[in-house]
Amino acid sequence: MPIDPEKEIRTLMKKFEALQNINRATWYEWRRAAIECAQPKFKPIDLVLKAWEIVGHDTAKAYFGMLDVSKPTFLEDIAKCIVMSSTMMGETAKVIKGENENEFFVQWDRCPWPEFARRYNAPMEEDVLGCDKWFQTVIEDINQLFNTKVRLETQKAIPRGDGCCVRRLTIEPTDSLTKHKGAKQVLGDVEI
Amino acid sequence: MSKNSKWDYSKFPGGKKYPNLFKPIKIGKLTIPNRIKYAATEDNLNGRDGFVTDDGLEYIRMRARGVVGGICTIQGVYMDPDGYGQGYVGQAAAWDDKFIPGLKSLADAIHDEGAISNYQLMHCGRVGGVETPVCVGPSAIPQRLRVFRPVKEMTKNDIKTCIQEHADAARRGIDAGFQIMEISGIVGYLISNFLSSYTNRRTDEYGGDIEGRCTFMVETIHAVRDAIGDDIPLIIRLCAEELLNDVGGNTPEECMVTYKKAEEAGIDCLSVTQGWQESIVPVISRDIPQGSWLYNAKRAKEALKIPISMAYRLFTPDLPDKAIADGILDVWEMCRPMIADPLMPKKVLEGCEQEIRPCVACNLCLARLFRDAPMTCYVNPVCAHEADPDWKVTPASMQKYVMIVGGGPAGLECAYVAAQRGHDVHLYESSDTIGGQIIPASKAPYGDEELYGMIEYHKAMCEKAGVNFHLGTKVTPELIDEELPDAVVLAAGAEFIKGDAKGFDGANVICATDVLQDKTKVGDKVVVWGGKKPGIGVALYLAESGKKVTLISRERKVGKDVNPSYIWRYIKKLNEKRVTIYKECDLEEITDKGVIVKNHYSTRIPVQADTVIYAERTPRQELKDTVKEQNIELHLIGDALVPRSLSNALHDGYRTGIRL
Repeated sequence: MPIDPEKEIRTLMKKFEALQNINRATWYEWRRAAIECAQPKFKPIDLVLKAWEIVGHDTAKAYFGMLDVSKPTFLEDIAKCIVMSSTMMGETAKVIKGENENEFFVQWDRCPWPEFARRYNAPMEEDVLGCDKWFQTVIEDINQLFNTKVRLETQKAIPRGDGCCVRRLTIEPTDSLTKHKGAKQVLGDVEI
Repeated sequence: MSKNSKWDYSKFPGGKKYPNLFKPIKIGKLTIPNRIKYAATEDNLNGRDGFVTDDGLEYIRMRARGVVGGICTIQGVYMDPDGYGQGYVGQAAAWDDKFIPGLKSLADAIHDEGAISNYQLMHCGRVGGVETPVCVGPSAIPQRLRVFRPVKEMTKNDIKTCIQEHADAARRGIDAGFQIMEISGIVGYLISNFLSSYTNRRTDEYGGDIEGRCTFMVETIHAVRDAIGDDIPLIIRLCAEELLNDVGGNTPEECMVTYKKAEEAGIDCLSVTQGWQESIVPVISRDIPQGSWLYNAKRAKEALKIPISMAYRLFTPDLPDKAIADGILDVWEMCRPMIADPLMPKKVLEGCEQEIRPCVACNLCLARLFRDAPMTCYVNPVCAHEADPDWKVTPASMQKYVMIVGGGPAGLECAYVAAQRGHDVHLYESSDTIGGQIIPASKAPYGDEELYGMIEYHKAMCEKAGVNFHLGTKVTPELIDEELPDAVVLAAGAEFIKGDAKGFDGANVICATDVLQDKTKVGDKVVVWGGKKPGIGVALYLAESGKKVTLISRERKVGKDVNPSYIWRYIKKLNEKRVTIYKECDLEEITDKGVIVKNHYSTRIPVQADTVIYAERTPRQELKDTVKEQNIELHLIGDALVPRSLSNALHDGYRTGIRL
């Protein structure tokens, strides 16, 4: 397949710029978390989970604009959003279809986070719980905004010694998924 | 004889031309002389404590004069002392009797102009709490737009209190002398929050299915009706379409249920709207063709017996006049056209349509409100300065011979204002037409042709004021020496410039205005250099015709000169048309095969292109030194000062015109 250098560089630049912004945001997210949690004898895991919760709320806000509950690909699009975030952070991830349209998996084959946890002497389990907190917060916010029942379940985790991370996404049918199914927003002669 | 019975429209040209607009209608027990309604418009002109100010008073007085006997609505008032209902820092308050005198001054001003006063109750709900850490709503649904605050779910007690606050505030409106009562239930405000399946997830009697979600609205209507009695007409504004399919909002059919429930509850007139502030599709900007939403008025007319009014993209009188004749509308409602020209309907009546300053549907007015600033209009420099004597056009203390160099929007605005003040104004334009950069700008797609209306307006105003045009005449130092004017206004605009990169002198490099005016051929792969409005306009123009377009912006953002409430529409179109955008980049080299783009961290990117279009500008100021040397009064305005937007040009022109 021929390479389109312009496209490659453009994609790289976009990711790089997004990463820069995430990097900056992360600093402030951690700062907020530390201020909220710092007290005598506090447990690092509390700080970690609080920070990932804050990150999760911000991530969910970024996803809101990319999701449309009236589309049949709603669940798959959530999985794609997660993959997009992960690859931007240097992970290797992909979406795998489940048995039906109400089930998708996200699989991570490579993740630099455990290596950083080791480098900074943080427990591996903290990494798993932190990730879970992030994703669960995102999913909770999505469910709140879109009035849906999406669930996320961690099945495998690299920091636990599994060869990959796997998270299963499922969705239960709700009114909000069906009420606008097939409807097109039409303005006069123009579809909008 | 009531105070409104003085209106006899039959003797006016507009009364004959638009007979349906200028005939009476009964709303409840009140007869309105015509079909015109100035819609409630937030202006941020009141004090942060909610008291009415002189600025707000004069603003509404002008609009009341404009409706020539029709309905003039004040901005919606918030009704709770905590301010959860307050959506704008300068919103008027009505949560205590102490606000009645200020509200009365608004009603009196409207009556003094012979108009019918309409008082609006507006709890901003999900978009409220502008001075509080949270806002309130039926359910705590997260915000999509960061500008709004987190939502706190209302308890049943909160709901009962809120309904009572509506009733109390309504009574204060009647005490202040208003003739009509209106409830706002649109665009994401509290009543719409209760009605929508997106924002109401309650399982009690205020939630559930659409009937249940209507409960809060119905109880509010009943409470307000009890407070105002049967003789005062009661209007409600509700969405015919929320345009929130992506988050599971109401269907159009559910919206129609809300209409019927409102009518059953005792509403006398329904104002049809569409879209929320959170909707991700354009609703009121100029990319939506005029009259596009009339089908929703038709749906409402078919479903209800009460009169139907409607605003939203009905900017010219012919559309509502025909809609009324066709039986799909009863009242022509508007706010932005009368922000742009407060006397708009009056000019229609008097047969002076060419003198109407046209709204260009840019939404700068909205952008200002969301940034806690007083309202400003893109095309009307006087907007929100109605009370300020320094902003009025007053006779000049000494007549001057004023030479205006340039027939673009800045020069034209300055010319007619200065001429109205009694100056001897001579406008020189090197080309044989007036309009300047508006001419190419109005060739861009998605409604930009509406910008052309400014030229027609200026032409009419200049001719009426007696401006002397010198078209096809280039102003030279010799001409200035010869004419020796008392004042020179340099409004020569900006010229499009080529950059420093190697290859800018190539045959494949052309100017944006030549492209927009079809004066030159363009290849299939195009690079546009310049990410402000001219660059965006030409990029969309070419992308629309199927070209592969790359837009290079030296700024961190594309469309830095476009107001924040409009730019997202352009970005959406650029994305839809797959225009590739490079920000914080410049051109390093141009060849006949393409360009090298260099970003701010020195990455070099090859982009294929057979045509390069330059859309960056620099001011034209070459006559400045000549004028200074002659000790002639000099004014630099519009793009000749700094290349900016049409709005800046118009505001510069007006401000200079009133001070010459």
